[in-house]
Amino acid sequence: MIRKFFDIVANNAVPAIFILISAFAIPLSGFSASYLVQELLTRIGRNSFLILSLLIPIMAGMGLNFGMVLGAMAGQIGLLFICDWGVVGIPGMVLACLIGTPIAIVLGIFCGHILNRAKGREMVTSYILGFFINGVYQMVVLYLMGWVIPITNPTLLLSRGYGVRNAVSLMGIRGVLDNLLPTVIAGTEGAKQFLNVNGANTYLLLQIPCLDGAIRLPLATFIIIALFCAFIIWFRKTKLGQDMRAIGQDQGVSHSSGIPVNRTRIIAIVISTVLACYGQIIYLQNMGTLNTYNSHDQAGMFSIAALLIGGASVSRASIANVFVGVILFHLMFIVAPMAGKNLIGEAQIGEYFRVFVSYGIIALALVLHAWKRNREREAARRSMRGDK
Amino acid sequence: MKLKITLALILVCAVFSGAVFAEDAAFHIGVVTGTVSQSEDDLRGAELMIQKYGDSANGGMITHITYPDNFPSEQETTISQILGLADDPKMKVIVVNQAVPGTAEAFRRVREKRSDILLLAGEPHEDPGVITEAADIATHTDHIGRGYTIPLGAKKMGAKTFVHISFPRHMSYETLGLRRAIMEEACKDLGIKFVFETAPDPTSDVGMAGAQQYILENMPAWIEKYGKDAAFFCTNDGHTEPLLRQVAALGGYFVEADLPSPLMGYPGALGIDLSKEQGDWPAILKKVEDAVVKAGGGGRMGTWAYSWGYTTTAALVEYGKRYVEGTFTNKLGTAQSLKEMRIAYDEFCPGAHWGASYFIDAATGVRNSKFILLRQDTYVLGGDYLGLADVEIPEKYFSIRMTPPAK
Amino acid sequence: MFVAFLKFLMRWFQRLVLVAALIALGIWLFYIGREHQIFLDNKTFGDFKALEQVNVSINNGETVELMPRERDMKKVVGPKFEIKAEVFDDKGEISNTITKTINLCFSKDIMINLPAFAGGAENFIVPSPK
Repeated sequence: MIRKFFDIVANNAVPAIFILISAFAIPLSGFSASYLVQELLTRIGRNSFLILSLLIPIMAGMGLNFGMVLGAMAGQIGLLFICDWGVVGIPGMVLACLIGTPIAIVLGIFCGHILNRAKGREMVTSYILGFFINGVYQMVVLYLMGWVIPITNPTLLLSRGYGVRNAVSLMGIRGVLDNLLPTVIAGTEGAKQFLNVNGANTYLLLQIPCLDGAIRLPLATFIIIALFCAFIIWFRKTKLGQDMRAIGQDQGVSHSSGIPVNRTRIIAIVISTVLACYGQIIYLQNMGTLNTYNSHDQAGMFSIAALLIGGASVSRASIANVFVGVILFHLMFIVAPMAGKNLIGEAQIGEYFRVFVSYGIIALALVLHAWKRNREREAARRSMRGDK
Repeated sequence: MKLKITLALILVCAVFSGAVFAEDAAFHIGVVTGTVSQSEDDLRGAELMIQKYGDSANGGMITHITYPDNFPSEQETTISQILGLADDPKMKVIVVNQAVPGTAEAFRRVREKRSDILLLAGEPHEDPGVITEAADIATHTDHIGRGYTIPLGAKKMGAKTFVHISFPRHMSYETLGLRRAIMEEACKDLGIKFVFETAPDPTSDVGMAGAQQYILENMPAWIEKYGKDAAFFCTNDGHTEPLLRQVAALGGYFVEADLPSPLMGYPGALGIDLSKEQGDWPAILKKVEDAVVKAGGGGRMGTWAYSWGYTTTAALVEYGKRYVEGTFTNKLGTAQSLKEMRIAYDEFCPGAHWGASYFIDAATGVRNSKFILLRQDTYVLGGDYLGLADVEIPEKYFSIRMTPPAK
Repeated sequence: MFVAFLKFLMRWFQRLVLVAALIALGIWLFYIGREHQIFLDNKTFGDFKALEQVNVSINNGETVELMPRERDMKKVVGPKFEIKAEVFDDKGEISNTITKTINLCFSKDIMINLPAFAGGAENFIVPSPK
């Protein structure tokens, strides 16, 4: 009985701790309910795609794919081209995806080959690979663009004639996907106020009477995310998906069964990289500004952190983990700085508090996972011996 | 199941979060600065204003928050922080110093939500065109003027070589990269040799410690190579402290830091205890000067008498407050607003001399009247003012474009 | 053997078709999604004198008033746009209204000389600034 209770707590320790801390921090931060819900909905729309792209490598037993940052860089190169050509709106976004895809495929194949030579150490290898490709990317963007690679738009280039500026405005595609099917959830008062400011015709309205203020819903983005979830569920049932799951369980047995292990692993990484490319484009169309040299830095780290906080482990992750993770992780991001500040009275402490809590929890998640693995092995050994 | 529990808990907490603090001030001013590890002066300026006008949590005017230390990679957090200020119905002014990447986007979102808030950006990292689309006014150190006056100051102090220390991320900033190009041209005109040296970026994997170590270790070699009559200049605040220490100990000149202040690098480099002189700038300057002379750097090292970061935070808050109250009435972006911004700056720098002008885009020649450039006169520790604030900048420097770093 | 080779060829052919389709899609998106700058110039051009006042609207959008020697710029998305120019005479009344649909194809920016355009000339498109 106690063991069962202990098991439940141990299996869900990380989300539980996060929920506890959030419950404590939300009232402290002083934010209004509509602000929190709005921010959370925005962040779910912005980040979910990136986190979902991590699921396939985990299924294939390759751990957490830190190499998704390669896909993010490919997406950013696509965006630089459409900014140069001046292609805007949905065509701009789709074109950026189209340009980023071959780059992401090439990078994914490269990453996959390297990871095949580092079986068992995929996570660390992909992390370091991310740094390496970051250096290549910076060289391409700071020196080759405008010189060897034809980029001509003066608002993009530094005034020396080559090299891209550190902040590129994405006004052309800003909010293009989010506002494709603009939906608003508002109370009666909030609805009136919102319509006064934004005009009646272009917005679908869902009304919840007692709500204070108006909440924007990026419906088109959510639909794309839902389609992606459906894709993942379908993919698991295909032959390729089953092959990946088999490899994830045991590589030796899969190889004996005739599954081309190395090739399938590369395909898993390529899919993940390409999806990360699209995810980064969705992320950046919401942000509205591209930090040419830094936007992709934390793409991997934050997505993986969110996934772990959602209760996933290095060897098993589900779609529910993704959404629970993104809600909890980003809720922490939103409320912790203000909560820390109000608690202690010093503005800086809030920032340190957020960093401490967020990364501390990730460390805890990894430790708990290792501990759980050991316990499972113990339990397996015990059952083999015939003990209870 | 887990999802349902999570959502239920969040809704419960959200309902209880409509806490209302006792508010006595007529309106609130939001101030966003870095932490002490990033840029201490900006934060101390905010603390001065909290002292002057009260913290909004206690019924005063100022709400002070910070942006992440690792701001280049955490743009989401920066935007979220600034946007959080707009959630307060009494907020009327938002000041961000330094306006790190993400500020323009945050301002755009604040505007969408609340068009009545005045948005002021101090020392923007984003291009003038980008930040002025979103902010009402941006102030920046006069990188064009200083591209000429800093080498001029070096020459006045006796330097024959000018060593510019930076790294790719900073050189990709239009403002900093352009200043480097102007410095190179100015050195040629003034007859001193210009050299570019690379040092690691503190936000890269070596971190602040690694970057500072690099400067400490390479300075002896640079002094050896360029001589003791070389002037050194670095673009990063973190690099300044080790640079100052080595200049004092080994020789060479240091005109002023990128964002000059008596507190920029000097206290840490020379081990000066300034806890008793907090907020009293003339006293701070005296103590720093004594320490520099004692360490053998007298007449070779300079700074601005009043800190740029500190003054900017305070001046922008003051400007915002007076604008909302109606004391400053002139339309933003006109010549009168330039005058009023100078009044706000002079308020916090009794005795110091400021030069101000509008930014002119080198490519189009168009004047951007929402982007104000300011510079203060340089004071040589153990010496005197160099008279640089009144120097007329020759026309040619306004049409210089960035050129690649000389290798 | 032959069947295997045929299968091999078929697979590569299918891939080629797919890649070609994607490239075509890319070009089409480029064509319909590009944002162009339309410069409106009210300056004397050859025999056509600068107009006293001309009101121009693009795609029935906001109207721009141009006095002699003035230049303005409007942005359009997509290759085709409709431009309507209302020319005012000295008395302040509309003397002439011209509407035309222009197709930019793959060029980026254009400058329309309004006196030439209002005068019915064929070559009213002049080289655009830098």
